[in-house]
Amino acid sequence: MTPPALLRLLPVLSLALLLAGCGDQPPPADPAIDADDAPAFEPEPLPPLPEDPNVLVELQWDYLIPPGWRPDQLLDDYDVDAIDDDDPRADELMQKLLAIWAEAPVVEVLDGRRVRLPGFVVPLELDATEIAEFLLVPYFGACIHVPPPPANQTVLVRTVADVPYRGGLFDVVWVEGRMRVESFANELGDAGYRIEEAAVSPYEEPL
Amino acid sequence: MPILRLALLSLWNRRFTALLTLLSIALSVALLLGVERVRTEARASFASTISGTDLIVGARSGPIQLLLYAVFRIGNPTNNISWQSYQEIAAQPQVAWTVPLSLGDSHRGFRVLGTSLDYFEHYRYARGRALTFARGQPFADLYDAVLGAEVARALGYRLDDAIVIAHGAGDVTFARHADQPFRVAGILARTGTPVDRAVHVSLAAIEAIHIGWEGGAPMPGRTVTPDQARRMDLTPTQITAALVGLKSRIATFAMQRWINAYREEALLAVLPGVALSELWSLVAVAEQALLIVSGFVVLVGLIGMLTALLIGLDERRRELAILRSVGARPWQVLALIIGEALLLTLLGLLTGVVLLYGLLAAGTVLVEGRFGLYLELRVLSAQEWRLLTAVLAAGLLVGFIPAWRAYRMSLADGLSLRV
Repeated sequence: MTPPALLRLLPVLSLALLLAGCGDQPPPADPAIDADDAPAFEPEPLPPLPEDPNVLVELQWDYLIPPGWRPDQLLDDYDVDAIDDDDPRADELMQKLLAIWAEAPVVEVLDGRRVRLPGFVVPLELDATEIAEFLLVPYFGACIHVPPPPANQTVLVRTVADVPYRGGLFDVVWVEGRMRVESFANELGDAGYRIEEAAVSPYEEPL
Repeated sequence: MPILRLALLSLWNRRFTALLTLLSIALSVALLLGVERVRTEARASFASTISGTDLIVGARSGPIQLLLYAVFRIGNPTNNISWQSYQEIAAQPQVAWTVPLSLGDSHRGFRVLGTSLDYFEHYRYARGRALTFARGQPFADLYDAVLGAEVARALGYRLDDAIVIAHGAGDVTFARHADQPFRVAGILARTGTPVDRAVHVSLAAIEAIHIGWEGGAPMPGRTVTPDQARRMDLTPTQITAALVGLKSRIATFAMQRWINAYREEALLAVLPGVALSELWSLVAVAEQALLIVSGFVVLVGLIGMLTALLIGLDERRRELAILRSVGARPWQVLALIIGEALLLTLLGLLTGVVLLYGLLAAGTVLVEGRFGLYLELRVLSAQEWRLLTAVLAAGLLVGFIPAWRAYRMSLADGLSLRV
């Protein structure tokens, strides 16, 4: 393609890219498929665990959600596609979601087990290069239209006492340690998932 | 070891040149270590300033800017946040404690911070250490002030001294709140953080000194005396920022989103850890550049050594021939020159380290006074040892060049030398 032709194509290309961004421009609706009829997403349930709590269990983020927790039923009450960002209903929906997120149920059978979980690091207590305490999340930098990860998809990690993690924000790591689970209904400072005495190592995508 | 002794004596024989070479290596090593030391100390100093706080809340600007002005008192806030918004945040069920911060005044170059008594209870630094009082206690009276350690030391204040606060960050006579002097009620123990460089007063006191200043400057007839101020309602209407602690750290993201989406006012909530990490990535480029430059300076120093050794070789051909005549093998001649290079580098490293500690010891008070950066006199870190080893290895490699030349010369010249 000659350069002038390419230049003329550029604004069209960039417009197409902009429209494709962030998912706020819905694709042309196919009348044959309706969102309400689509099979509901079910998180993968926790497989049966070994008797001995000291046997290492490799976790996936889905396992931290107890089966039967269906917060998306709330979305059925709202026609989500029709709500604009500035609509007060969007706010209302977000508030409700955040309230549900804060009371998210936890899988208590994981309490006291040795586990291994990959995720992204969000530092809480840090020195020049060492992080002693951080939050582990399944994703980061998500679109601002979606709420942050719910309370049962966030893990508080404390490293082994004198062995802090040498790294930075949003590093992808494997965290291995003792899992502690405390229900949110207790409203204690320790509510939620915690991994204590964690050993942190870099994560590598299996080939 | 005879070769080592010979190398020492050889250097001593040309001690003037050797000393110059040694000094250039020493200076470059001191520079390299100094840059590394200042870099890590600055980071440690920044990172240890705040601990145990889950969110910092302020007017909507940017995360790094909010962190800088609320915690480090660098830069200025774009706007304040209303007292109602602060109260609403504090009333949320997930919130365990809040500390209000009010900035905008100063005392002889040191910032004045308006806050509540919760500050002394909940503020933590350096991985969970709490503030302690070297003398006195927190404010009880309206016009009580608590000084940071550096303020008290630099200005020579003691308990019960009277101080006058100025409006704004500068310190000029026409902007002072001279009609309402404060009394030093307490002096905090040294923390090595910006807390040392702040004058703390109560929020009510900040309101009191600004009565009559609504227009931005004191209006005659509108300002009040201390006694009148005590009788007025001094509930604050605005604060600059707030520190928030939550009952469960896992609730951090939800709370942050709630504050960011707050409809009544444009607020921003940041996680201190995240904002600090973003700050590190900003300065990382400058840090790398500095390290590369000091690496080059070391290289220059080593090339100076190379030059000195190479030039000396030509004059030493007869000396080498004599060495051969008393039985030295060519590889021993090689070892001799390498030994000289190694000795020069080693002594240069030692002198450089001594120089570094000397400069640190002499300059630490000055640097802290001027830049608020606390340079701790600690032993060499692992990274610094690695740098030193790298310089030694480089010196060894550099030494191979004249050594090889001497080796070839001693082979070629044999015992009879025609110059």
